[in-house]
Amino acid sequence: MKRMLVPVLAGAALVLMLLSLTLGPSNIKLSDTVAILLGKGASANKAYIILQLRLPRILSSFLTGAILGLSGAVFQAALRNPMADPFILGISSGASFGVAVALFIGFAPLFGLPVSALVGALGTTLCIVALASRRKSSSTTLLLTGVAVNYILSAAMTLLMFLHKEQYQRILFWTLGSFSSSTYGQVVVVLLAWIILFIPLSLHHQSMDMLLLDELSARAGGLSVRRTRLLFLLLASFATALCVSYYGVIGFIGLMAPHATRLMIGPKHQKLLLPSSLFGGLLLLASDTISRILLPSGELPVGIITSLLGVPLFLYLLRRGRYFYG
Amino acid sequence: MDSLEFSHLYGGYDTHSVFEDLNLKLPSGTFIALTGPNGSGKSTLLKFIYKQLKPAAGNVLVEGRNVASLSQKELAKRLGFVAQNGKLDYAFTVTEAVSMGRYAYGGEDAGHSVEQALSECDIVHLRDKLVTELSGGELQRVLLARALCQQGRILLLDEPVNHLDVKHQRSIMELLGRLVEKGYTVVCVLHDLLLVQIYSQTALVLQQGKVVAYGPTETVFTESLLQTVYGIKAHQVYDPTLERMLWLPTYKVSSP
Repeated sequence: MKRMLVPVLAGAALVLMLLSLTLGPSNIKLSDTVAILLGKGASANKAYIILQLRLPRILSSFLTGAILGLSGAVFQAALRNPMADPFILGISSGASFGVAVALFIGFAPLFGLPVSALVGALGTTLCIVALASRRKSSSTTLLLTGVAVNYILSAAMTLLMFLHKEQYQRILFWTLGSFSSSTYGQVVVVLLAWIILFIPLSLHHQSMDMLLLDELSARAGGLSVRRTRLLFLLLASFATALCVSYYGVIGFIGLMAPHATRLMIGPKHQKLLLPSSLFGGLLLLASDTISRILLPSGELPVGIITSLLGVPLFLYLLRRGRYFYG
Repeated sequence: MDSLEFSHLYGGYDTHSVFEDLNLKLPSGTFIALTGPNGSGKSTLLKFIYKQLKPAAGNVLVEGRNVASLSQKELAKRLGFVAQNGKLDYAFTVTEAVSMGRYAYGGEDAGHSVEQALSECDIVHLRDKLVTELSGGELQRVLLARALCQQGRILLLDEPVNHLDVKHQRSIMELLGRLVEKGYTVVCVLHDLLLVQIYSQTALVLQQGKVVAYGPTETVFTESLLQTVYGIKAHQVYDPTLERMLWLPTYKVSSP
């Protein structure tokens, strides 16, 4: 089972991608979909739907899930907290605040919401890290600083929404996440972010294992704890912030994917990183597919589906998993 | 060469200083017990060795090298460490947990070193068990095996037996004794004065960051020292097995 996990997840992702391409307001047969992908005819209309609307969306959702799955593993290791997710250091509240400010003061048409969100997310993360570093940045200090800043920014965003009621729905929809405006350009950027995140994590998987020890034991084992923790957190924060700036806040994947994978194959990061990433991608792709076919007209915010789909699966794994926290 | 040396060490935490001009040399190849009341600076001393705290002034030397000039990995190759309540929250197998001791070597030669450490700590049979399923005594052996895997000749242990039952306390302490016979230097923070007197060859007693007694264990403890450091009365009893006198606290028990 353990050895087969990566091929099984990768296979499931490919099957789901193909299936997802056929599903939508206009159902397109599997044979037509395959023909379009292979560049063999079918109508221009169908080809447009498959290649220009659905494929970039499917790739975007899968890659975003893959980044959230990886980032979640980083945050849980670096903060030594199984409840940590990529949004715990203020990325979501920072990005949402950035969007709210942009809409409120009229920046949005100038720079676009993604840039405002990216600036807000990264700015907040850097502030939290800088604040916590002054107190020697133990994992608990970082976590608590993140929680405090999250509260302040959420309150500030609510205030802006209250003062600017006509933008309320736009901000709310953005905070719930959507892949409806995905482009191939975004796919390329997100793929690069995944590669930039995955390669150093894979090369330093032993350092990630060491971060799970108490700080003195990790130091005694040879790890430069604070430097490693900050580097990993900044790397994962950047990749997550990029996704958030394009697609909004998508919760639960970053918390659940590493957790669920750990329950199946244990905590060693050498084995954990790729399955966690694939599992995150698979779950977000499934959620996005459901979100766009569930209603006869329109679509549901994907964040609702990730929780509805993920929680029962997670509880099941929690019940039968051998690998638990002591 | 001395295993550890503290030279004119000043420093502590942001809120208060712990050490002021601490000067101390710990010899190699012996079992050194580091003891003293809570808050006397025992664990803080370990934090200076591992650079978790930086001295305000002075130096910490390991095998003659200033720790400030050593990288964290170079330090790890010289010193193995077992933390106080070093619980592992994540469900690694015993082999995986022990092989973390090879981190400083980039995982190099992990197989052989891990096997040797498992065997040395008598936990070969536990190799595939999850650390979250082990008893306290078994886990302590795993942590010790991880420290041995670092292949330093000095082992630092912070209260390694304080939550174990008597049988497991004895087996861990005997294991440490055997390691000293093999040439290791064991520096062990201990609260239990009986264990200090039975197992250590050298005792160091700290109080409020100052060395109040240091030397061969048999000569360090006196009635007045125990009264001064711990504020307790003590008396000596003869242990026929060890064939020597041991200091015990005198307990007052009110009759029912």
